[in-house]
Amino acid sequence: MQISKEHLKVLDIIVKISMDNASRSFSKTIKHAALIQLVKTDLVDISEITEEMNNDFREMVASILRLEGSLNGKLMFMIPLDGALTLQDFYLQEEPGTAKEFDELTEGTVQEIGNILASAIGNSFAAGLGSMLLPTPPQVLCDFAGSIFAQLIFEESVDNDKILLTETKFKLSNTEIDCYFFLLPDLTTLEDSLNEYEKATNINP
Amino acid sequence: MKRVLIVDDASVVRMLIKKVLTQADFDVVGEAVNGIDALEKYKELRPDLVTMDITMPEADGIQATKDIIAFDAKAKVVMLSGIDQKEMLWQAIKAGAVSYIVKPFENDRILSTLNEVINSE
Repeated sequence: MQISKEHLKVLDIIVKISMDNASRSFSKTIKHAALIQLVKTDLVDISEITEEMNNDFREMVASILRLEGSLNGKLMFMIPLDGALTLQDFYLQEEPGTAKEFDELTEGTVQEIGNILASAIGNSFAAGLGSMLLPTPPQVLCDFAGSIFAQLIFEESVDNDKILLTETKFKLSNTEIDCYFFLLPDLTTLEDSLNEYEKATNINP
Repeated sequence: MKRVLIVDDASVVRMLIKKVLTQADFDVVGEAVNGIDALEKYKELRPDLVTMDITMPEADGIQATKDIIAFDAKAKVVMLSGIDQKEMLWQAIKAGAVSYIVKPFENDRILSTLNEVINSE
């Protein structure tokens, strides 16, 4: 796996700009502030990240999408099940505690939040790259964190020991709910895209 | 009362749009979950307006808009999408959409756009 430190820095800058845009869209969608607590871009060891996820025994709801265009990749929005129910109440503007168990509305809420976040990321990258980046329809999963994460990285883990991963952690204001957003860029398209982005924006890492 | 068909693969989005439109005296005559369903429901219901998502399984909103316009050149389709990219806006216009709203949207924005489209008849 080849990616230079300079490209990693450029990617980190783009991801931070993208996540600012994504958090605004997220907050507007649920009409509550979604505060960014962490944005991290790194080459990570698959066995380490898998172990970390397997040690998280919370049941999660996740929305997995692909980003297709000049830069390909996978995106995942993941939130603990109890958080997803709170998110559903926010999104549907219901009284807190209205949603009691995972159902079609919970699935739809996580699906739509994943779509809004992925679109915001695609819009930010597309603005820099000057080409279209489109999300695919989301797939929604409800399972333990480790199982969901294994599905996200399944293809990459077949041939690689490390993956390039950007991780963003949001906290929903006035709640104890954390949620996560992962971007797994496809390395074959990433380098060309970052070169184009550098040229277009004059970013000098 | 103007008759509207809502097209979106997410049930919660259809529910929210329906709530907003119903409160503003629109008549939501049907809902479709993808582009193929959209064309079938359009032919069956002949609504005055269609709100159309873009990212959907089976057939996306651009293809569905082309198909609906091919069936009825006077159809009024308003796109509702999180995709805020000029190339997609062009594709939507070329497909025959009359307006484009970027998600997440304000309720007033949907109502003002739909009323504008209706009054432009």
